[in-house]
Amino acid sequence: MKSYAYRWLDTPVHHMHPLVMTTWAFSIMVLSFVIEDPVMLAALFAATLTLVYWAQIFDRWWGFFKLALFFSIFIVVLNVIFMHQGNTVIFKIPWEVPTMGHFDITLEAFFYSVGMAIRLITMITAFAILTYTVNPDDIFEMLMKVRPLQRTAFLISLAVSYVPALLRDMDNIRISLQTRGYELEDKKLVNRAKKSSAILLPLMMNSLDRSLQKAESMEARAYGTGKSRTCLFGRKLTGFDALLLAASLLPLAAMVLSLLIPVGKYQYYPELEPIRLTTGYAAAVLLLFLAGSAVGYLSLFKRRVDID
Amino acid sequence: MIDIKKLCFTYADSVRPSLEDVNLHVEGSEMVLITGPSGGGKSTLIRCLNGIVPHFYGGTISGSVVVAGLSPFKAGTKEMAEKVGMVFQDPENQILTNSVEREVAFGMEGMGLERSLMAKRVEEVLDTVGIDHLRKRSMEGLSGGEKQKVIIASVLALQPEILVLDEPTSSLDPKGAEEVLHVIRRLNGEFGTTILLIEHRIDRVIPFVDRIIHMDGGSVKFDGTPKSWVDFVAGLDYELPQMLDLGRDLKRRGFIGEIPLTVKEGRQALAPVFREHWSGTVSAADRLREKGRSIVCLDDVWHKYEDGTMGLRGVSLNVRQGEFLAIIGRNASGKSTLASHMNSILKPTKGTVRVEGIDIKNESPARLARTIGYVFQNPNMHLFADRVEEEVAFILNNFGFPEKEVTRRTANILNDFGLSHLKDAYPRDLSGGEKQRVALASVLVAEPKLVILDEPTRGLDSSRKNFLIEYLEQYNARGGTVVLISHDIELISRPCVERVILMSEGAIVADGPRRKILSKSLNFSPQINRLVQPFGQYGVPSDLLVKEEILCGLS
Repeated sequence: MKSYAYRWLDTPVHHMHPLVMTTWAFSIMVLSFVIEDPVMLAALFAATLTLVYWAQIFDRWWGFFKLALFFSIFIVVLNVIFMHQGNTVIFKIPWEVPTMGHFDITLEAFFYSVGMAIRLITMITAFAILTYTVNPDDIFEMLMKVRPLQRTAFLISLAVSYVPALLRDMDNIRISLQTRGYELEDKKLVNRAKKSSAILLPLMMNSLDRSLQKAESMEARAYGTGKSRTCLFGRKLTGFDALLLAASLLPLAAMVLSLLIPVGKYQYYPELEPIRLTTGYAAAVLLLFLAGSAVGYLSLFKRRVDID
Repeated sequence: MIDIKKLCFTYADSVRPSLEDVNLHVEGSEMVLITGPSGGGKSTLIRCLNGIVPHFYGGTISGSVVVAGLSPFKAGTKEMAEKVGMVFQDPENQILTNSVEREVAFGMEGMGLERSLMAKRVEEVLDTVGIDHLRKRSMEGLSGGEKQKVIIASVLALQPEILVLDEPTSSLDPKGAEEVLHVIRRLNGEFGTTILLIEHRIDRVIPFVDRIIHMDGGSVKFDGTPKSWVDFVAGLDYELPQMLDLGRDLKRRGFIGEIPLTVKEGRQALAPVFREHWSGTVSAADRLREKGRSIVCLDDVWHKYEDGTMGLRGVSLNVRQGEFLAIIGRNASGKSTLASHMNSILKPTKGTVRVEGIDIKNESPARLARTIGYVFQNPNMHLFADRVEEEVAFILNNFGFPEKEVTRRTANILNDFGLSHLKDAYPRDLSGGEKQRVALASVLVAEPKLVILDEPTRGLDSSRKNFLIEYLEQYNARGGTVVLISHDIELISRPCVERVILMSEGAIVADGPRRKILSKSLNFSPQINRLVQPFGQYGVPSDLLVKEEILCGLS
């Protein structure tokens, strides 16, 4: 009963032009790459949450969030073990670890990895919003207008629509392994990860089977005749869509600005840089939040125009 | 319309030919059923009609094929797509876009047709297939039958002269299958489309086809009318649907002259037989075994899925050792949800599930696997290993059985399932029937006390189905408990099934002996039971379920 695919909902976010949402998601991902300041990253994450709210996809986003959280914990644990930079030692390993010897866990390494985790969660949230609010066919059609991109566009569209099937297969294989006595649960994270790798091979084989059948179906429906592909539908970009498109580019504009001023930089090593809560800093955080969420707020006006 | 002469074909990675000296001629507007055992060459033959074989799969081909005036070997698949429309088994793996209208337009867009022409054709095929109401829907939210109808529409939009369907209903529930077959009949009857259909559920289609082609070992073994085909398969290891089998037996004994193909024809043919020959002695004693202790007990179990759908609503059920229980019901009525609670795949939102008296709230399916085995609908879900032998031994190794015991049990079950010669084969390279047997062996080798089978016969040919049910009978006779989830009423009407549960909207609406639940039901009675309903006046009981009961009562 789990549903991983796009589903139409009558929300302001679902009404937006696919180009707007694609640009917005891309902008958020790029900006989260550039920003280092953990507070600003958190502000950007909060901005993405406003779109989760307006799109009414909290339950479905939660699935992505849990996955991101799992990877984030993994990142934090690995980082604090392997990154020994930083002056503030919070825990000394009292025994010698094979191949690593004695080492310390530092506060700086911990905060650095927390920053990375917020960045990952923000990027995954932006991707989840794009997946759940934009029909993959709309993206496909948008890219189809550029002829050299036609094949690539179709491949991307197929790949995106493949994700739900892949996740469903993963669930099924996990259950099947368990019902044949293969215990995937383990208190130790490393053991759990090792055991979970048993899912990969059957998952790959299932995917290959599925791909072959899809390819056969495409062949039977004359795909790749060499003629220029036409589209049954096509959505035009209105004036308001153009305004929303400009809003979706705001995170990118913020990124350029952050490189010029510079804002958003943060020094983790050798010691954590103190965060000074000045008016300027608070304004920068607020502006970043607004830049990330502006498209969501503006979409509410578009919805009102649609209803009128 | 189709002319095939001396066609031979061998796949690139095989040494054995898949088609050998096939000769066939099909006229326009004919509806032809292609049947025969799995691996007999049916799917390969129909893939030659639009050039997918050999262009897509590769291999060595000889002979000649002419379809609608073109040779698929010279024309290639793209050109042939406008002549031959092809629909495959699983609609899930044929979907290429996310919405109905786009899916229908997919092929036309690829051919570069103008938007106005596409819009016109989309309208036409949506109406023809009867899915106009689905046009704005997303593919994700459609039922299996609806998805398959969309695929048929998308193929028809290219305006092919021939429609070829490879087991189009095998992954659908009965309602979905009936909807799809109705569309196929309409296309042939009203629009004159030539239809070639591969289908294992013969009873569903035999009344409507003009011809049957029976293939085995890569060649055509029979080509003729449905009634003569029923006589042809008499000497083969091929189990006919109950009503056809009854008709053949009655014809052989001289009671009737012609074999009836439908329930209506059957009633007409049997009226004088019952009037004159019904002796009233019916061997209808149901098997009633002494009930053992409780294996699985569900007490007021509720289940709510993540999306808010209620899967189960206050289900209470006690399954005792040695029972053979069948669960029936419409799609999404809660059958699989109920079974998934028996081994902790799903946890109840409310209520308790006990296995051998112990609450399994904190148990994992892996820990319960020694007591409860689960065979999934799709055999591919059971296939992980590189060799069949490893696949079967997987569960025993997980339980930590000694090596000698693993070897002994594996060899025994491979022998029982007729898989010994395939022990070194790669499981995913096997045919559908062989995969199904490996899947079953991979669970039953551990000799669980209870085995759950979720739609185990979907897509299986009649002989494989027969094998499965015979094996389950033996397992049950040895004290094993069977829970069978199936839409196949003919299967459930067999005498080995003791108890039937009917589910609807996540609740048990009927629970009782097989005869009580399956008799005189509009949707859940087997053909034999529907056949005997009008003959109460001659003393024929209205709760007969299998043909042996009728044959026993005739003098």
